[in-house]
Amino acid sequence: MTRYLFGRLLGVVQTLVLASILAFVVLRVVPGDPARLIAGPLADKSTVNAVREQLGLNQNIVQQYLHYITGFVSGDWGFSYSAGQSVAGLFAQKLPATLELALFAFVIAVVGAIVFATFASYRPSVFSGVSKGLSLIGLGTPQFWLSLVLLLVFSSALGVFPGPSGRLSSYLTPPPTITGLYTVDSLLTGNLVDFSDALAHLVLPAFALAFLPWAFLTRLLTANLTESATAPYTVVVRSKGVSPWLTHIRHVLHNGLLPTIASSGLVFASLITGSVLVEETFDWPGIGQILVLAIQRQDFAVVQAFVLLSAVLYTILNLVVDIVSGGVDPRLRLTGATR
Amino acid sequence: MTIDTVLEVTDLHVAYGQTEIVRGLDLRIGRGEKVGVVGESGSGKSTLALAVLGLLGRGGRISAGRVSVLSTDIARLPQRRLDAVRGKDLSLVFQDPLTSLDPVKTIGAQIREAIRTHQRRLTRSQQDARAVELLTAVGVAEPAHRLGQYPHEFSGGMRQRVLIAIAIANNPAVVIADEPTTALDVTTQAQVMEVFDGLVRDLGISVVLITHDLGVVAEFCDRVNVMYAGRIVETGPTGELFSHPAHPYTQALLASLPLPGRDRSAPLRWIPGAPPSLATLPPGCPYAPRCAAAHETCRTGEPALATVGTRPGGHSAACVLVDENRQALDTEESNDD
Repeated sequence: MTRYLFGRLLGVVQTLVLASILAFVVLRVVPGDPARLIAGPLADKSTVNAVREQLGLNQNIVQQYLHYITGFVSGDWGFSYSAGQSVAGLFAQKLPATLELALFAFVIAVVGAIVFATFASYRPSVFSGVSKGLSLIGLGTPQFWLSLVLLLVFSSALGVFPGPSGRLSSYLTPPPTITGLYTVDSLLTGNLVDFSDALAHLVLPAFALAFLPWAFLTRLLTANLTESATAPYTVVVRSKGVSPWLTHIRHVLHNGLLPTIASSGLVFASLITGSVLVEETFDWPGIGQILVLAIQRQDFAVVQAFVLLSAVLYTILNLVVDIVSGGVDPRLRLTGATR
Repeated sequence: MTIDTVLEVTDLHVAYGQTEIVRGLDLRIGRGEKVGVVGESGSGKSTLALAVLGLLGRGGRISAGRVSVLSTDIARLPQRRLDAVRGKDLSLVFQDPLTSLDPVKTIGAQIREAIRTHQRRLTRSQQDARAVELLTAVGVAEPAHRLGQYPHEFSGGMRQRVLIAIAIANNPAVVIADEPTTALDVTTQAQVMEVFDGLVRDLGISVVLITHDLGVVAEFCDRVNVMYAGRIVETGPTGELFSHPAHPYTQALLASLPLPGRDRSAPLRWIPGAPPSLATLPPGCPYAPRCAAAHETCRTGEPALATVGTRPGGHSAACVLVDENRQALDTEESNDD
């Protein structure tokens, strides 16, 4: 297991180095002069040169890369002039909101997919039509449209959930920062008013964000479960006299879940990096909003940090997925077993 | 049905949709008997195994007939009561040992599951003790150590032994083995068949061996049933049937066996054509289109099983030739009088 882990870690480092080089080079190749952008169109040449020197842009690209990457590792991610603060500070402030949203959406998507796929593969005649229809709709529904419909129905018409007003009603004080997730922090400090309000604000955006990955995971999982439901080992379990439902839960679900674990890591990463539209619709103060702003203003320090962070996120989640898969599937544990 | 009959199949019909795969099949297994069911692929022999266990899967159903296990007709039992019989009185050893064990559960967990499904009072350590006993019985070395291992750590032959251990976990009256040696190499085949022999000899379990391998049948079985197009076309004691095959299909099967000492310059005999499609079965004997001895009467009615010869042991075949031969024999005998 140690050797397995060590091998995976080495792969992670390699991927990250490659991703950082790619992100760095692509942003340098894009036309436009950041020094000119920062100094403004009216600045004279010596001012632009001063800014360029200050940014280190007069060095060659290898030196620039080394300078940037050592800064990134030590927490200096540059300065965002569009937000007027350091990039690291900006992310520290906005990331928890996105994480909280993505986490809830992920739980909804995974639990929903397991429930629907389990029934669809257990009694295909009854459930598979419903599950298939819903997941097809999910795969084809634009997230911003779904967000608006949810707001119209559950907020404007029925009034059961708050409107697009961020993470917490404006008259409430946010709980003290422990994890940065309002629902968790309010529970930890015993503030139930904050908790129920934060939860109510989370429900609609989380559902809007979860629908697409739920649909994707449901289809994938149903296919895998249906396959293992007809596998010879399932017939053998039934021939022992184990009831159909127990067979399904104990053996079919366990085997059918394995390929889904691999994809769910990527699904979670895509929820964090792809929540822009939902955040915009619900006025959710997360990463998506600052990213849109940074791209519009050509604030490359933010974009570059976002690309690198996404790479870190994807590789870390892949590592987690590998470890979890190794725990669930004995064939992946390369322990040098004796025959 | 006497007390010594453990499994009796009477006029069994199995259909997938509109197509009958098994068309009126009778089979009787006595206690401690080793019975073979032989046939080509597509003859319905695997369907027979699944039908007897009530595991036909989607679209398949028993459309008529009885399957009696220790005098209980299980063809009509509701799901829950059927589960109580499966794995206890009647169990299955499947074709492909490589895919028949759950890849993500330990061998021990899979054997214990078979034990505790029918013996709920046993504690975990009692289950483990029984599992060790079972693995020892089927010839797996270091059984206690191997309980914690996963299927991929076992060879094909060892996995088949584990599957046999699972099948006999609750001392069943009958084990149905569907092509148990097909996926194994020849030396392992012999070892696995030796395990089956041990079940019959030491535990008094009856074995139904479903196979296409006439060699294994000749070695192992007391009685043989030859299956063709969803029916049994010939049945009898192994020695009798192999030495005096009465049905042209059985004769052709035996003639196509490459036996040692045969004239190697002559081409190996084979049966022309393919088994008929059960969806569009022609009238008359289903073997008639491939049969060298077929004549007009064969294409009108499907013959029933009729006794062959005069020796005891219940050798019979479903062929008009048998009837004609016997009539000829009868007239000879009456002429002798």
